[in-house]
Amino acid sequence: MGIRQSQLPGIGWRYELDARRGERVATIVHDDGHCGLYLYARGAEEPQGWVELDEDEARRLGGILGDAYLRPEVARGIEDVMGRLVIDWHALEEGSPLAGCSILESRIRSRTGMTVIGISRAERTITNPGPETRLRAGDRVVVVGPIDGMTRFVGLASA
Amino acid sequence: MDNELFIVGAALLLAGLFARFGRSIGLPTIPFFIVAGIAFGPHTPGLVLLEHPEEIEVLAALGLVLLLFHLGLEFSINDLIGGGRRLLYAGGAYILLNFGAGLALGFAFGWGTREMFVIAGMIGTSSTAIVTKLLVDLGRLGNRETGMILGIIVVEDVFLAVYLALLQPVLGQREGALEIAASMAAAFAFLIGLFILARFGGRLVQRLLGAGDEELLTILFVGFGVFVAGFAELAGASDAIGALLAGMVVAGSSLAHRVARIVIPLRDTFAAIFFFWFGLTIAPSEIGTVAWAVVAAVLVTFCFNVIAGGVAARIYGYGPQPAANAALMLVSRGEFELILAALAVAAGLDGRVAPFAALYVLVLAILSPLLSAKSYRLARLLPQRLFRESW
Repeated sequence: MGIRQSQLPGIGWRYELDARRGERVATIVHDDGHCGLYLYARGAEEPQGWVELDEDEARRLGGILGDAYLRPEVARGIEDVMGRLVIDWHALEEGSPLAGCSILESRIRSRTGMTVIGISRAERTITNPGPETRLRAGDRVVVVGPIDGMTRFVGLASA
Repeated sequence: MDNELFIVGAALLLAGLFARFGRSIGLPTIPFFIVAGIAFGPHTPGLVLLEHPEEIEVLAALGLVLLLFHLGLEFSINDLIGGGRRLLYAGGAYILLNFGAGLALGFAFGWGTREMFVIAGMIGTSSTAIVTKLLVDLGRLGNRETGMILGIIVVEDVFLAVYLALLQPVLGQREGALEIAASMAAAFAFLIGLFILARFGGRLVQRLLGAGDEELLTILFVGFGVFVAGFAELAGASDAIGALLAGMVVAGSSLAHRVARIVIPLRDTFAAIFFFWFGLTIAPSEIGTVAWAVVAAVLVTFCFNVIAGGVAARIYGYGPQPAANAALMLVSRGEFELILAALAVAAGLDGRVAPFAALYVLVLAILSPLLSAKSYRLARLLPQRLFRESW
């Protein structure tokens, strides 16, 4: 997967990505900060569709794509990034491989680098749960660790 | 009517309302500014806003200066070099073909040698403003030919700087080949000095005029641009080249980005007055006398843009569709043609140059967006075997 970067004089910068199935996505970052997304079918000369986003919209979309956009409102106060460290949470869905495991069995720390520091359940909140604590579907698991560990944790929880 | 505030306000409002109508049907603003000027000028029946267009000439001149100052700010030799050899060939081919065709056509008109060079400049340079707007409006910023089109625009802008510097001695009343050659040499020396100053003068200007807050920055840099333009005119060059130079000098400083942002709204306001003023000076009866010349110029411009678009696409290894897109966008004409016409009028050239420029710009600024939207039709007409697609 290659990304081609080129300057468009008088407009801004263009980043082009060739998707696996041959579609092309061109992202334009205008000099004034707003962004445009242009989608091309395989081998097409003209875009299938395009959208211009203002700065705020572009940042949110970027957050979603980068998996860094925290689930809204509720999480806002909890989230904290200090250097490379992140505190975040993830809700275990029905059928998550982690549901039913104890923290020890799930080996979350060795597999993702994240440490479970809290579990929020419908009826109560467990702070600093022990290794024997069992995770359940519907739990909101609060973890701390490096930023890239969060991606691994979400992957493990929803695999 | 002799209340100047009333006149200037009405001029802006009328120009803006006409242009708003134009935007609502997807057309660029420049032709509508001119039409508003013609409609409310002294040469057409009905409401006459201004009997003597000279009264707002200073404001119009500010528009011209700010247009070129901003062009200088955006001017980048690095963009030119960054485009590589392909861009030099494609842009060079575009200018050779169109400027060459313009020279031939200007010669055929028989209006005079100085007029010939001005006509050639008009036929040789696209409207940066309209091309950029069209790329955004038609959703083509992601297209692969867009880099090439904007690259050709960059080459045209560099060419324009050289052309403007060399045009002044041609426009001046010089007799004899030796005198013209001498003033050409002087202009060329001026040009070299200009590039050196633009390259190294930025930091000096920054130290002298740099200011932390926007208020002072606006005042100092607009003052700088207008001052250099005026000085250039006093020194025997044109205000146009002076403004361009001032912009290039600022572009070499780290303030370029902030100054560009400040200048845009000022440029838009005064440029509208410039275009409106230009319309005021045009009499529809004069347009009749240049109609055939404009028809010929439009046809020649179309043919040579299609050829140049094809050549550029071939150099880049693109097919007929990108070639058609490039040709039909680059055919747009606008601000530079009117600037050249204003310079020609100031130098006392043939009276037909200004109405020619007005009608030529009106036709191409309106046709280019309309045809660009249907560029696939032209693409189907272009013979596929002339292209070697590298994709």
